[in-house]
Amino acid sequence: MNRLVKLVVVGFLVVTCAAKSDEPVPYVWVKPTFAASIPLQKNLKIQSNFEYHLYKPNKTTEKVRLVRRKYASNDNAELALTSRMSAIASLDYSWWLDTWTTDSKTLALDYYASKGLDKAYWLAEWKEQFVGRNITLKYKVEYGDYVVMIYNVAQPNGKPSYLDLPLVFTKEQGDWLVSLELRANPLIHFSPWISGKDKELVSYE
Amino acid sequence: MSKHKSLITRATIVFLFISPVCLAQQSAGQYEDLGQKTFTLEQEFKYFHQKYDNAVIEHYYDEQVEASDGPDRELVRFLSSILFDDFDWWQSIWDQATRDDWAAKASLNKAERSYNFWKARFNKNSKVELLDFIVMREYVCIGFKISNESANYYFMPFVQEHGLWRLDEAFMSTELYQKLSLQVSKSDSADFNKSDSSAE
Repeated sequence: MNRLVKLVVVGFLVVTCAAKSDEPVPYVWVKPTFAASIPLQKNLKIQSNFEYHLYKPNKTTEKVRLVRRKYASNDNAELALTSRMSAIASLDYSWWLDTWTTDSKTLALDYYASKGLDKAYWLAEWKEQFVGRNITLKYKVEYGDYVVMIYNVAQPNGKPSYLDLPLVFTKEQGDWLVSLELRANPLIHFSPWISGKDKELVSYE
Repeated sequence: MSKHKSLITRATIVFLFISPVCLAQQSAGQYEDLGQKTFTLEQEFKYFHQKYDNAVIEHYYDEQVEASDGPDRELVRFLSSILFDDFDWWQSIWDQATRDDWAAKASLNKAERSYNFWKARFNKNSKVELLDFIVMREYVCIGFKISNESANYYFMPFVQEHGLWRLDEAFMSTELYQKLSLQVSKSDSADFNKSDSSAE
């Protein structure tokens, strides 16, 4: 009986050790050139919090009412959104250029030039996508020095588009202007006001 | 008639006084305030960790050579360039984006300051022991210590550029690099008791 117990214990140890040594060494695409241990796979977690203030426009104020340029202003983010949308919907390319912050305009125009997106492209695009459409403000987000206006451009049949778009404004010399500074910001990327999720987990291989 | 006139005047006065108030109220009531919110992003990065086994650098390079023989060999070349006081060679081990940044901010002397930082910490009497080899995404980070120095832990991130291993200074200012460096430097060697037969 004692012998049987010993056999079982030894057998268990052998199986356990065998299982350990059979663990596959993970494949790593680059190796050290000095003697080193086998690779262990590990995880690093980074948690980042983004604080913002969320506003939802009332039914009576959500419609973006387009204006002529001489009545436009960039005194606050609401008026700046109206300016931007009015510039686009009236196919006024030079007005549209004036709705950007200096740095973001340079960045945007350089990028568009590299993709061959010239004035003619934008005018055709706006004519197709904006002219005659209802534009609705869905949310206003205050985030640090920025105000993000989330808007929706209706389909030709008047129904809301499936896509709500963010437009980031920041103040430059007293004017609220469109900024690309948050283009890589996770808050804009995940848009929790649309997803309804206040937490996201992203795993990188 | 005069009664009517007085009514119109009163109405005008009332309108003039009240309308700005109404407009202000309308502006304040444009939105439903949904309050202060917090969005939390949790990022999980997988990486591979190897502990070097008594890897003290014995041989340094005595001239600038270019080879893609491994990030730890490039670290040896990085240290060699300091040993031979070759600033051009030392700069060439950083990636293009780093060198562009140095050139764009020439007045800050970033390259010179970084070079002097290293020259103050490493010389021919130094003993360098490699400790950690980390592979995370496109980065390979090498942790090491310099013996004649106050036992500081150094963690250098390499990326491949045109087939050569180059240091990425911008990555060193990211939260990811800083947390990785801290986590790796505090890792327990006891977890690494097997040696990798595939290493040379």
